Amino acid sequence: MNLDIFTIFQSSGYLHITPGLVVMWFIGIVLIYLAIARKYEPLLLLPIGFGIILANLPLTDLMHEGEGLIWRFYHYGIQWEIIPPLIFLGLGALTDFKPLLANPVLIFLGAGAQVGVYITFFTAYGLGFSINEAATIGIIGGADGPTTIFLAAKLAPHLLGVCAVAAYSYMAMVPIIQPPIMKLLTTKKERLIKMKKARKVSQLEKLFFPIIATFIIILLIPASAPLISMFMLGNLFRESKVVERLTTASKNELMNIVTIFLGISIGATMSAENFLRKEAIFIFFFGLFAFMISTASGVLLAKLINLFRKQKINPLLGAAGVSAVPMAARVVHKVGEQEDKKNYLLMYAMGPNVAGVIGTVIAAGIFLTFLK
Amino acid sequence: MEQAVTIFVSGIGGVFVGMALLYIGILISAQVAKRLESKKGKE
Repeated sequence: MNLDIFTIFQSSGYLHITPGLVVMWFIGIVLIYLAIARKYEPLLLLPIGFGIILANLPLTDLMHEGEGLIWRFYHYGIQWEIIPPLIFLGLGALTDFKPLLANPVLIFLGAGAQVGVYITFFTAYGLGFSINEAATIGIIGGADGPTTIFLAAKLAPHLLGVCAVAAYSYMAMVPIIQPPIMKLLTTKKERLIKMKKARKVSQLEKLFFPIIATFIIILLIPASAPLISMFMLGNLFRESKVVERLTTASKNELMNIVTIFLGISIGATMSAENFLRKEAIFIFFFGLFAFMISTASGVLLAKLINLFRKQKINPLLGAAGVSAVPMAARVVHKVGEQEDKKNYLLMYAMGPNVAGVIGTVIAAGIFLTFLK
Repeated sequence: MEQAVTIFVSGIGGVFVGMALLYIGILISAQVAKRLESKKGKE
């Protein structure tokens, strides 16, 4: 009897606990705390935090290749490119392109913010990361979680967990990271610029957009097809007004279900041996750098556009060119409101914000074109 | 390094070209939508 109890104890996980595993449990608990107590991207950070704990419980085999439960979620969901495009389907069903269609010139601010992606890519490569790793790190600057995951799974799967956590953590910290940069790069006079009243957008235009965008982007960058196709299909559902059930399913049930599998799979890729390396610290640093540069490049591009336009753009809108929807747009509105309470920038900022999503997908597609 | 420079230049260029094409697409579709709607209005 005593021998049996001893055997059970020997085969239990307790004898296999290492300091690395304990550190990872702590990181998992911190993410769960941030999700619950601070409401930092709770939909993702909560399952990610729990996934980290599960992946670092010894002898569970949850991430054992070919057998583990979470490995199957990860393999069929992420490695097979299923989950990120489905998230994009839901995002498309949630996205209203009206602010962009009403002020089409704002689309360029979505491109401006991607300059940060490429500057970070180049810097990371110059500092010794492989070219695939550098591309994966650079895309964090796009502030788009599913795109970061999509690209990391293809180019640098060993960095998937850390890049995803960095992307979602910084997205939650947009209200802290962006305002100082926006204020530093603009004058009070520029922050006070009022936008021209947006033109009316017809339902027909909103219906045309997902179809036209699908043709234009996929023909230009075929590698962006998995994400753009689903994004525009979701938006077509929404704007067609004839498939209410599909729209609702895409943006609610389906998106919620895949978010669970996405979060837990991402967390489970963060095993102690994968995460506790000096590269992880560098990646967190580069993620922050990418966010800052993307914000700055968006603002500076808006100022550049103003040199050629009679009707000036409020350069704060450039900061919304990072995807982080709708957080970045809200931050723009808040910073503008600090200067003039009557300057209502939110609707205008949604234009570059949704353009930023498209821009990040194009940027990821270009990386894949060269590196896959 | 050469590949990284190529990606850097084509990446930034590609994103702006993509957005410029979308910009043109939006302007054209706005005109088409306007014409279709006015035609529908006349009918």
